[in-house]
Amino acid sequence: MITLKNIHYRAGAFSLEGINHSFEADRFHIVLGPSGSGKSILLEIISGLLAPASGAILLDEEDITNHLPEQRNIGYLPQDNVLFPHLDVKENIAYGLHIKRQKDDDYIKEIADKLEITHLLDRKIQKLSGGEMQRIALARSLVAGNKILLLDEPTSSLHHSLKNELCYLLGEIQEQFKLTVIMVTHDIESAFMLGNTITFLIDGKKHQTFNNLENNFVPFNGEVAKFLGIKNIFEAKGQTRPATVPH
Amino acid sequence: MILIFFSTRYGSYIQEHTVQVVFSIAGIIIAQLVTILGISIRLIKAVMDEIPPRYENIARTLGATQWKAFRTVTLPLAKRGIIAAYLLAWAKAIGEFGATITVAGSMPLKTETLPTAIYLRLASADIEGSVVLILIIVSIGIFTLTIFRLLGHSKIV
Repeated sequence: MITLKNIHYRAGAFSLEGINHSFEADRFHIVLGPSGSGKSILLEIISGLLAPASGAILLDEEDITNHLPEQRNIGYLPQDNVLFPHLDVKENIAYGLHIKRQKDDDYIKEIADKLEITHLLDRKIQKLSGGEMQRIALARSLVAGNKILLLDEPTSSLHHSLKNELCYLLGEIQEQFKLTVIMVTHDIESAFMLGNTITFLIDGKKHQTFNNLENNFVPFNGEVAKFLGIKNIFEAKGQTRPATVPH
Repeated sequence: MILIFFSTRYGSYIQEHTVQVVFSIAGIIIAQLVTILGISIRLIKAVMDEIPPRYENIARTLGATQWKAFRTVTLPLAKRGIIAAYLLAWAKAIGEFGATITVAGSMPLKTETLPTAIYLRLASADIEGSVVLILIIVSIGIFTLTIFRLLGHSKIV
């Protein structure tokens, strides 16, 4: 389980303000919000690429706030995939093993089979489509042995049909490998399709967490409703009940 | 500056106990190094700046330390640019005249470089000899710039 305790971060005029949240293990978590709401910054803080101004990050009760990214075992797939251009597909996938001076062709083949990219293993990455790059980046992270995956808008650059295909794949992979996935997105459709929990992050503030497996969704406040495009059906005005005068 | 340094007590000590710098091949090397060091560093910095830091960041989330990420990702990506920078710096060193003749002089067959040899031949009105040397130095320049352009065309994805 990943726990964020009162995370603050400031970058120019933008700030993340006191984020408290727990991401349970082996589940698919979505952080949903409009562009510029601090979703990617939150992922970079969890992965260790950015240091929070204050607050703590706990991984299974262990404080990892000051751990380096390579000490966290948390996989991070940024928006633009970032496959290494000087390596071919197989070398990209094997990078995590290569770093540990290990070699396991059978495991690479097994992961490649599951992600249906076996036929791409000998290709140069310059000859791949966006969807293929997504799968290879995913395979690279799985081969490196990361049990926690941070996905930054994986569906944003994909065509509608490819987007659905990737969503199914992500769901399957999460279940099959018992991964803890935290995916940030502004895409409401894929959020509700994939997320076990959905957390709304708007303007650097956490507004609501919703359990997608149990509850019917009701927005807690105007910001969440506005982001989802939910409008009032009837004009109404809130009013506090007048205090009863004791006899 | 080099000449002034080697005429001081420390410079003389170095020359006496290690290697003769003024009016020697070592002087040519030092003069050219001082002249091209600035441009070499600027060129290599430009190459490094072109590589997005996100590659190293991803390598680190895959278990690489900062040094390993640099060695296995940034350095291979910068390889062609570094070779191109080296070639350009080398071409500039070949054509270097002022610092070389000041520190190493121009003693025929001892501290003679192509530019100083051209200067000496022109001074003694040896036009044919000068033209041959000029053609050699121009060919080296064109060859180096061609390789530089070819290497410079590799793009980072």
